[in-house]
Amino acid sequence: MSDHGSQSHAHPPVSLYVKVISTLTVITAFEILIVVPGVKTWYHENLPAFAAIVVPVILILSAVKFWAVVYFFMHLRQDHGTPRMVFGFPLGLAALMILVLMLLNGHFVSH
Amino acid sequence: MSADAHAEYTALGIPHRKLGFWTFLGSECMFFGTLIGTYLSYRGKSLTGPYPHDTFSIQVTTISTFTLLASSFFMVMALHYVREGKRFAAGAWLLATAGGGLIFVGFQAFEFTEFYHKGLSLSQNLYGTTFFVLTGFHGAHVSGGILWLLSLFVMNAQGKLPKEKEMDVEIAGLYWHFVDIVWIIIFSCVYLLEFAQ
Repeated sequence: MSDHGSQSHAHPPVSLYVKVISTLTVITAFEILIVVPGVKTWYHENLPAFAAIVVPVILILSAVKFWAVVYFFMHLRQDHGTPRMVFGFPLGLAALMILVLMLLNGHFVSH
Repeated sequence: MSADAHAEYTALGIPHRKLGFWTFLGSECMFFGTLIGTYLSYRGKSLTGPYPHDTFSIQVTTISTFTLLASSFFMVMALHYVREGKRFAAGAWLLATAGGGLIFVGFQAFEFTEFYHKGLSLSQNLYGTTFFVLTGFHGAHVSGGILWLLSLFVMNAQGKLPKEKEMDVEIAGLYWHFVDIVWIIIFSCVYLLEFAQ
C-alpha cells in the first residue's frame, strides 16, 4: 500500500473558514454594488475607464471567489496531485470555452 | 486511529471514493461549461420577448446568492464538527446547510413562476430555452444535494455518522461546494453580465 502520509493533513481551523466566507461576502457585495443602476450611472459619468472594464472585473472577481471555495472549502490546497489534475483540466477547458464564446459574441464590451 | 484508516487508497495515495468523486466533478465542469457556453452563445439573439431585462430581479437573485454562499460555510462547519465527533453541532450545521439549499430552491421556484407569468417559457425564445435549461439543471443539482444532506442529518441523528465516517460528509461537502461554485459563475455570466452592460 502506498504511503498515506502524502495525503494526511491537519484540519483547517474555523477562523480560516470565517475569513474565507467574509471575503466571499465582501466580493459578492461589491459585484452587486457595481451593477446597481445609480452606481452604474455614476461611474459611467465619472469613471469611464472603469465602466469600460466592468465586465472583466466581474469575471475576475468571480474567478477569485471560485478559487477560494475550491481551495479552502473543498480543501484542494491539501488534496494536491491527482485531484488537482482530474478536476483542474476539465475546469480549464470549460473556462477557456466560456471565455472564447464571450469574446466571439462580444460580451466583454460594456454599453 | 486515523479517520481515513478504513478508506481504501489508490496507488496515488488518495482514497478511491475521493478520487472518483473529484473525477466526477471534473465531468460536471464540462457539463455546466457547455450549458453556460450555450447560454452565452445565444445571449441577445432572441427574436421575441420577454428579454432578460424584462424578467431579472437583482434583489431576488442577491438574496438567493448570499444564501447559497452561506450554506457552503455551513457545510465546512458540519464537516469540522463531524471530524471533532461533536454529534449535536454536526447535525445542526448539516440541517442549516440543507435549509440554505431549500431557501435557494424556493427562491428559484419563485423566480421561475414570476418569469412564466411575464410570458417566458422553455419554448418561448432562445433566452427562455437556454436560461431554464441552465438554471433548471443547477436547481436539480441543488435539490439532489439537499436530499443527500438530509440523509446525512438522519444518519447523524441515529448515531451512524461517527468521526470515522468523515469521508461520507467530506464527499457530500465536495458536491455541495461544487453547486455553489457553479452558481458563482452563473450569477456572473447570466445575471451580473446583464445588469453590467
